[in-house]
Amino acid sequence: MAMRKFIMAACCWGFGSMVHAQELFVFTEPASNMAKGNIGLRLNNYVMKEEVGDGYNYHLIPEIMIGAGKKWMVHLDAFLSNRNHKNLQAEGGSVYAKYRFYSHDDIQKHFRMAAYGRYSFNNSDIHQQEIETYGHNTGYEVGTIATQLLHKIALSTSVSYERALDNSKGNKFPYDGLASAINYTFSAGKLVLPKAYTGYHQTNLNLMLEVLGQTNAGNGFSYLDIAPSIQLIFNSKARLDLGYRKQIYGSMLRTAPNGFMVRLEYNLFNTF
Amino acid sequence: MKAFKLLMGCLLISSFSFGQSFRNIELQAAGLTCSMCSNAINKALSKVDFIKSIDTDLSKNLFIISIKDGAVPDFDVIRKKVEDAGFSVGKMTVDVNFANQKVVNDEHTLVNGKILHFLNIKDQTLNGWKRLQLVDKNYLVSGQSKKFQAATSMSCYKTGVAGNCCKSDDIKAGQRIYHVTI
Repeated sequence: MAMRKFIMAACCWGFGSMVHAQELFVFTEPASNMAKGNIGLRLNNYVMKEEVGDGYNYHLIPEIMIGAGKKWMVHLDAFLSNRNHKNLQAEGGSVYAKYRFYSHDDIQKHFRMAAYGRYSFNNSDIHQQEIETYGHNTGYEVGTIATQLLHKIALSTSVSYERALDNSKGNKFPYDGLASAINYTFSAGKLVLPKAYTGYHQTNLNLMLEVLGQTNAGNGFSYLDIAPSIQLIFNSKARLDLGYRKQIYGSMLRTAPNGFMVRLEYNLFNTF
Repeated sequence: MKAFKLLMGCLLISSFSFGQSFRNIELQAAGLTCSMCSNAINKALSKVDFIKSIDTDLSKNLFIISIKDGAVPDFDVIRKKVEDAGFSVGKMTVDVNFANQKVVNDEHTLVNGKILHFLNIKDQTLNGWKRLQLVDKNYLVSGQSKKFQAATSMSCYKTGVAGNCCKSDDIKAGQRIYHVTI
C-alpha cells in the first residue's frame, strides 16, 4: 500500500508541476551521450530479494563510461556477485556502445534517437528464464532509444532484442528455444530541486519513474517491473541514485526480481 | 618629449583598438536543461585558448564568454565544443568593434580579419561596438535558418566558405565566411 502511494506521488510529481526535466535516467539509458572526452566512473549496487527463502543477493557492477565522440559513448562493466558464494565473486563483464543518430534540439528541448549494442560474458550458473546480459547471461543485446526532453519533463522509451548464449565454466543456457527476448522500457524523469538554477554547486534532486518489461520470443512469457527512483546530483559532477525495482506482472521464472539499487557516479571532464 | 608622448599615445590607442576587436560572445546552448549537461559545455569551453572567462546563466543555458585581449575568436571552435558535449548552439552573438565601416546587405565585408556576410540588414556605416548575431545554419535552432537562406542567392550560406563567385582582393575561394545580422 505504501509502495502504491509512493508510485502515485511520483506520477503526480512527474506530470503535474512546472519545473524543468532531467534526462539522466536510473534504470535505463537516454538517447543522449556523455560529452566527448569525458569519463564517468560508476559503482552500481543491486540488493535483490530471493523469491525462495529469506535471502538477498548482492550484485556489484563497477562501470567506466567514456564519451568517445560527439555521437558515441562506450561503457565497460565488470559483474561481481555473491549469489553463488558467500563471498563476492567476479562473474563476467560487458562492453556497451551507443550511437546517437538523430537529434532535434531546441532551447531546453530535444528529441533524440540512438542505437546501442551490448556484448556480455558471464560464468555464473543460469537459474532463471529471464534473459539479462547485464550481470547474469553471456549474450548480446541490440536496441534503439528515443528520448523527448521538454521544459517540464523528460520521457524516454526503448526497444531491444536480447539473445542469451551459454555461460562459461560449463553453465549452458538450459531452456531450449527460449534464448531470445524482446525488452521494452518507458521512463519519465523530473527535476524537483532546485526551484531555480543559480550555479553548478547546487544539489539537484530528481525523481524518476520507469517501467521495464521483457517478452520471451520463444514462449511469449513476460514480466513487467515498475522502478521508482530518487537521484541527487552534487556540484554538477557527482551523482547518487537510489532506486527500487518491483515486479508488477510476471509469467516467467525469475529468482530475484525485486530489490534496491544504489549507484554512485563521478564525472571527469576533458580527459582526452 | 612631446612627440614621444604623442607617439606612445598613438601606439596605445592603436594597440587598444586592435586588442579589442572582439569582446563578449553570448552563447545560448540548445537541447539541455540539466546543470550536469551545462557543466560539460562549461568545462569544454574553459579549455579554449582565446577565452578569458565564462559566466553562466543556468536557467537559460546562457554562456557569456569574455575574449582575451587581442585574441581573435574562432566561432567554429566554440560551436564544436558545444556539439562535442552533445548539444547545439541555439543562438550566438558577438560584440565587434567597428571603425566607420560600411556594411551592405547580402555582401561580404572584411571586419577585423573575419569575412562577414551581412543578411537582413539596412545598408549602414558602423562605428564602435555593435552586437552581431551569427545566423549560419549551425548557429540557430532548427527552422530559423530558412529566412536567412532565403535572403541570399550566394552559395556560401550553404557551404560556409567563399565560392569562386565571391573572390576579391580580400577574399579567396574556400575562405570561411560567417553569416551575421544586426
